[in-house]
Amino acid sequence: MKQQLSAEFEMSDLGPLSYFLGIEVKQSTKGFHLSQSNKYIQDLIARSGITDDQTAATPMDLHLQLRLTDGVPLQDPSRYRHIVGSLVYLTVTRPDIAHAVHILSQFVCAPTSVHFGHLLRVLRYLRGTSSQSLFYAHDSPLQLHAYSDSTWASDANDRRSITGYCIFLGSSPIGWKSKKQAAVSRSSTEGELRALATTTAEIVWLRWLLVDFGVSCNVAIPLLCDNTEAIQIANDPVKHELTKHIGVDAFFTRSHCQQKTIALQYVPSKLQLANFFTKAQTREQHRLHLIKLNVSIPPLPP
Amino acid sequence: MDVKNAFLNGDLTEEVYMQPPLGVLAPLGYVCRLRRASYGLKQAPRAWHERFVSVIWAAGFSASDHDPALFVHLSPRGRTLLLLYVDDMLITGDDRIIFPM
Repeated sequence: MKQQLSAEFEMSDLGPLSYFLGIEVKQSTKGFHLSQSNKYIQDLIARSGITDDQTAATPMDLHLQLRLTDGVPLQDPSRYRHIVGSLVYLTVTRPDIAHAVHILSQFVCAPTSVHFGHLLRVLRYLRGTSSQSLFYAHDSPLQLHAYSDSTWASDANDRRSITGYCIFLGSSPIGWKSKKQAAVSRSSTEGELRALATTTAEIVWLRWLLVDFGVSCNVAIPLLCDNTEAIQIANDPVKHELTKHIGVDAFFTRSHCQQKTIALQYVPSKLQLANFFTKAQTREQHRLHLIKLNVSIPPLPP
Repeated sequence: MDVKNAFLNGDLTEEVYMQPPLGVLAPLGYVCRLRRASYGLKQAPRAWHERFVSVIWAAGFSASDHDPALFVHLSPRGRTLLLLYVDDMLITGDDRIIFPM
């Protein structure tokens, strides 16, 4: 097949996978380590103008509430925008900064000194963790499961909630998201229902994609949520008085529950991995989440 | 795998002319007609993609309905997956003829 393509186009065969779209792939006997280069992070730190050697244990302060009006507007917003843009790309292999970057990217239109200070904290966190990588084990089973979570009215500017999800193939994290919801929710359950619908949509797509890969996928995918009311409402049209204003989201998730695309399960909040994508964590929680997400330090080259 | 000068492979369906570039000896008042796509043309990325798809189709691959950059080849021996990003590609699968171990 390679010859066939080479006959048509001038091509170079780069051998076994080691580098693709800026992602470094290191193979070991147990599996693959994915990371983006250490140099990328060092270059960003150099461009940010940080002069000290401090590192931070987590990317964001606990209970941080940033507002558009905090601090004084930056004279030159382009540096802030440049760094945020670069960090967005880094989230491809760094789920641990996804939430912080999602928050900071909401201020690129008019960044202030306060926003920039929190951006520097993310860079200080990265400085201490720049050799981190995601691990994908050879022997990971080919079954999907997903976590979905939501905050409630957490945004100080417009009281919208944040959806967080992460999806695993066996032990490997293959999808995650941290994103402010499009509409304001009147209750935490409503926010959770919106998050469930977003996660369900991703699962539906991944199921199709797995079939293309030759992985049969005919069981309902466990979708774990820490809100029992949302699970009840998504399973059956109950609590009409609370939910009569909720549009498509509850119906969408419910129809996929009935088709057995997904199976909603309760998970206690402290085991809720998607929590990592909705709010800043304590040091211990942060470390725990990294372990669950199969984040590790790559082995040294032989 | 990586394709060199990928955008030069595209076929043009339109007539496109350009000023003779420096170093090309053309009589005064003449312009060059492009026979293939070139860098800087707005149709170049699409022309390259269409050319690639036609070649990969001829090799028995078809694009996934769920990710247009994923091409799948099925044979009784196994499955081959090709993931394309402009001119960079990953190829993997369990077809023993295509992937002799």
